[in-house]
Amino acid sequence: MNNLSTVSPITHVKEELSIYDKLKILTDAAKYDVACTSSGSDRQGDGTGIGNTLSCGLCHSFAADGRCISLLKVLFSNECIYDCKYCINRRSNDVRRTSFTPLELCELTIQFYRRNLIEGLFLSSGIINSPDYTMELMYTAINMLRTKYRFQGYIHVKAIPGASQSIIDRLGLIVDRMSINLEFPTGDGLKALCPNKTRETILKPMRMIQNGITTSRNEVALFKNAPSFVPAGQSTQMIIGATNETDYQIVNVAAKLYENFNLKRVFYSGFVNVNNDPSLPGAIDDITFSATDTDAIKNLTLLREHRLYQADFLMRFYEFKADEILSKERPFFNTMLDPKANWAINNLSIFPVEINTADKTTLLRVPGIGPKSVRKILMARRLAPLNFDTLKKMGVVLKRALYFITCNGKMMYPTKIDEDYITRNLLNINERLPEGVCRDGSFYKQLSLFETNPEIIPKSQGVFAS
Amino acid sequence: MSNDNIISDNMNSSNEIMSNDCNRIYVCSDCIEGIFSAIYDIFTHVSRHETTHDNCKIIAGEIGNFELFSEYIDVKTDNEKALKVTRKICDRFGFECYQSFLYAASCNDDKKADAIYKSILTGLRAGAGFKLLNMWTDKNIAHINILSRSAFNEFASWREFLQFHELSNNTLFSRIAPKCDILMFLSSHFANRFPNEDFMIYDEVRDKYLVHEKQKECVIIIGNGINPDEETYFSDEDIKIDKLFKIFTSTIAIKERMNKKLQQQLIPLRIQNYKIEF
Repeated sequence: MNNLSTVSPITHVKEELSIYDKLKILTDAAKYDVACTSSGSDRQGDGTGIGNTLSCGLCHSFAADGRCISLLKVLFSNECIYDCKYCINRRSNDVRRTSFTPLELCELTIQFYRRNLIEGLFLSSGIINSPDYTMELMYTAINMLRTKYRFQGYIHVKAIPGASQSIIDRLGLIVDRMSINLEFPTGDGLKALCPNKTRETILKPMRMIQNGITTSRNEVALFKNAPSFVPAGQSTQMIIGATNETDYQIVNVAAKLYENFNLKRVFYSGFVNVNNDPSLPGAIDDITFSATDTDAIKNLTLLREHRLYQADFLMRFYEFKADEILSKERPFFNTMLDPKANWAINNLSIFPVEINTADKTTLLRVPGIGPKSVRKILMARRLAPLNFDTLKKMGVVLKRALYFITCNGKMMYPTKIDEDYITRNLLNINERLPEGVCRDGSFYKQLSLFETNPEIIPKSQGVFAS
Repeated sequence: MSNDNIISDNMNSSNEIMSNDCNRIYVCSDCIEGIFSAIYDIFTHVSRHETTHDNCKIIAGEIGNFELFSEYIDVKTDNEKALKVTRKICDRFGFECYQSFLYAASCNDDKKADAIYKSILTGLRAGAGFKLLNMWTDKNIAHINILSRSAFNEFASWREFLQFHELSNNTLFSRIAPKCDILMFLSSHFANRFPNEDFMIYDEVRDKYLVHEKQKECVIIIGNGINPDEETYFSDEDIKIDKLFKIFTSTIAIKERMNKKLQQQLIPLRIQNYKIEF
């Protein structure tokens, strides 16, 4: 299956790199994998080693792009026999190739960990020789970390598409989370951009991990000391903006993944055209768009990613269904309003709700009230009726919620339950939208003194026209 | 002679009348043991003299403004009294409630001691039991909840952002400057995480050290004003690891998504000063 004669003609010179260079190269290679939480596993240290885990996950720093740095996120090796079009490590790219040794990786992890710089290790890899061969190398390193160094912190490992049952079984017993990237929501996208991966090579290991988790949970229920398989669950990642799926399709795929594979998280990664590949959007040489347009497209992709995360949280914590957030007739998110406020504006018939009597599901639908606030409201109102002052102390965002709730029959300020009025007021609360996106949904270009014929794209042709 | 007795008797009885009507303000030291000792003293006084709780108040630490018609009573911190009150709170209101009181007491707030005292009183009168902290409509309990949440958030931030440096004798050393007194909360977390390491956490604001030796219990030591200049004592390995971590944090950012404002929002500037990568 892996025809090494198709390896790039550029010969890789095996130079001995310093640990500083190796870390730089292998961190740079891993940065587009956004699945970097340390949550889901709750394990106290047993006193013989180093480390413990907390189920809320800890975030030890934030990078300059605003993303959380929780784990030591590196590739074991950036050598790769695959040639996926969107990936910086694809075999036809001329980049410096290197690998860690298991000892180097363990030393780095332990030294960072004991200084409280990281919560654990996130290990992925380019594919060397074959998926199983690569995973065996990763297993050696992680096993050394767990046994020789007695590391009891968090480990997240990426499964390679096409890996076999036996290596997944062995690796799952020594890591906290295992995940495999779906990459694209549909099979067509995958076929066009990843010639070496198929839906089957990705979904089969996902199913294996899911079955392993279920079996292990049943065993632990019977025998408390039975070994735990992937205790923090499974996650996956989809790339947004590289292919032309609608938001509705993506949200539906995420909902099915949660339902059918029992995933803990689905991550969405806004596409960045690192290879400048002309078959993918946003390439710098693409004559259709100028540099400022590329920036605006990038900002729109980031906004789309943000809306997808908001929708993801609605499905996981707010009891929303995928069909309630988007539909076939409206397959794209509203750029101006978040999905929850958008739902509320489109369903004004159920508002205002009375705080002292409404049930949990209805309370969760009010913009400005989240699951923690709902829990507090339900417990507090049994002891005494609540008023707006108490709600504010509890942490309810009254600026948003006041249009939708009553306390003891009265609204906070006289408000008409009218779509336009409420929308205008919600927008005045200033959610920061990226540059290039107008509040009324149109898409503008920055005018320049040097342009003779500035072009303004009308609202009806805007990217998120709805 | 007998006239003097009559006069002094009258004066004594008028003193008693005054002390029954005026406010009793108990001043204790700014720690949970002090506050609980004051609470023990108030309850003892009220039951012994059959007076009321209504004119009693507690202030922890410095007295701000003195009030008229008030009697100020100094409370001596007594660990046994504090232990008795702790047991009573855990029995009646649960361990979570006790933890919230601990968090609230670690904040810098004038009204915290009085809020704790009045919350306990409300809980006992209303028979709230384990649901005490759900009574958000009571202003003292709401205040405790808000303080406790703010102290917990401060503790959670430092638990994540605190960074150790290795000294030349292999001890891990860290400086922090928290808004609340969170050293004791950090102790259980790090003692479980690093049972086989020697580490020290220095609270610059309060001049206190949390010290942990390998396989031993944590100890909190009040500093003696000497500000350690630890840069001269870093091990060589530590300088190498610092450089590696700076390479890691700067490389991991995706340059197309740069957002310094968001980064500053997530790690406030006052904490950035204590981190090596900034």
